[in-house]
Amino acid sequence: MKLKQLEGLLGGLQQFPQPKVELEQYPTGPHIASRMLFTADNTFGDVSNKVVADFGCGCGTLGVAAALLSAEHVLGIDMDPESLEIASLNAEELELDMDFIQCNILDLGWRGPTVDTVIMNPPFGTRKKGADLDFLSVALKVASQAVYSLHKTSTRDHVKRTALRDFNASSADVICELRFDVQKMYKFHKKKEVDIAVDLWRFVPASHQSSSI
Amino acid sequence: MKVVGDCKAVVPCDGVVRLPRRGLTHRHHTLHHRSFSRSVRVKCQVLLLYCDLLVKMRLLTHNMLSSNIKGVVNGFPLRIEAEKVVEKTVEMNGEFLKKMFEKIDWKAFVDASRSMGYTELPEEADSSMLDSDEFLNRFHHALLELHLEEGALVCPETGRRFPVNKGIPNMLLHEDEV
Ligand SMILES: C[S@@+](CC[C@H](N)C(=O)[O-])C[C@H]1O[C@@H](n2cnc3c(N)ncnc32)[C@H](O)[C@@H]1O
Repeated sequence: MKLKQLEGLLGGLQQFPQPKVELEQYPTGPHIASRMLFTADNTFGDVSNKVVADFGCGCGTLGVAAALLSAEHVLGIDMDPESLEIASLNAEELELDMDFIQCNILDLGWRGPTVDTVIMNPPFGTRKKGADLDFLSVALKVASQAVYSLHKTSTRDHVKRTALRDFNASSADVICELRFDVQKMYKFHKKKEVDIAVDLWRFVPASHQSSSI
Repeated sequence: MKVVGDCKAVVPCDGVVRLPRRGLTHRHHTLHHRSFSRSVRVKCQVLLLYCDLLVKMRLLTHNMLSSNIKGVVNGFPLRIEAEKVVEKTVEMNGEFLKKMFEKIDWKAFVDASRSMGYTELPEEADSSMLDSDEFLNRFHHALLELHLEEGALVCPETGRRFPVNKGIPNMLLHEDEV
């Protein structure tokens, strides 16, 4: 699938009708989401034929992108049942087979090294400090191949240090810097349009996991 | 014709709901006969049902999850209580199956498939069996084509039920379980 085509399909997805602020619900736009998954697939071979988990899948944008790029099995996980319902409709509309689980990412029990790649746009932690790193910690335990994630550019050094030192990542690289349009994140946002700089990261977990967590 | 739940699907005589491959979503309000495979149409009674949701959990997913309730030592595998199982055909990918064979817990997988009403998997399997097309077909079918739509996943240690509604297991823990 071509990048433009992927972006177009993602642009047609339904998104949070009533975003829940406490869960930091805002969608990854089609431009960013398509590039994120396209790079993961094209440059690194982490998507097609793989088992991919979408952490905090919301309405499913990233997982849907993975499924469109021929991931063999996509699992979307979110706490919020309403988002999951929309995500499943989005998948169905595009005739994609995806599985979904309602759970707090921090509480889910996993067996074995089945998931290859974790993709996520975690809560940045504006509500709950450190939420994005909590997600990353779990992702690096669950993925056996790679983790793709978005974090605020302002936290770049901290993210890198924490991933390598505390989460046992064997590499942590910023693939590109992006701009997130905050106004689109929350429609009711009062301020004029504000961009925040966000990094797209690729992390590699230290060793192929063999134990459960 | 009979309307069951809020789903649009065909229910054949064996009671297993087979979903049409394409073109039937909540937005399409007519039944497109051509979207059902011929064999299913011939054998079955066609039921017209409306569907908001056709999500589901498959056994590959089941094989990676465990119960994570505080104090539970071995939360794997979650026992399956199946109330409604749905079958949906997907294309087979032999390479992927071979890779998955190395990763899944076979015993848990066989037990899970039985609780979903599928009994064609051998109790024990080794990688030499992957050369047999028949084995691959069965493995593929159980791993990726059986969907748990309604029922529950049950913690093997505590018996706590995680309900599965409309194909989505609710694994949220209560406050005293974390
Ligand atoms: C920034 S949004 C991203 C949504 C979607 N992945 C996307 O890219 O469009 C973060 C998502 O994480 C979910 N979420 C927040 N905290 C969570 C947690 N602890 N466990 C699971 N999901 C969570 C929210 O409901 C929300 O859907």
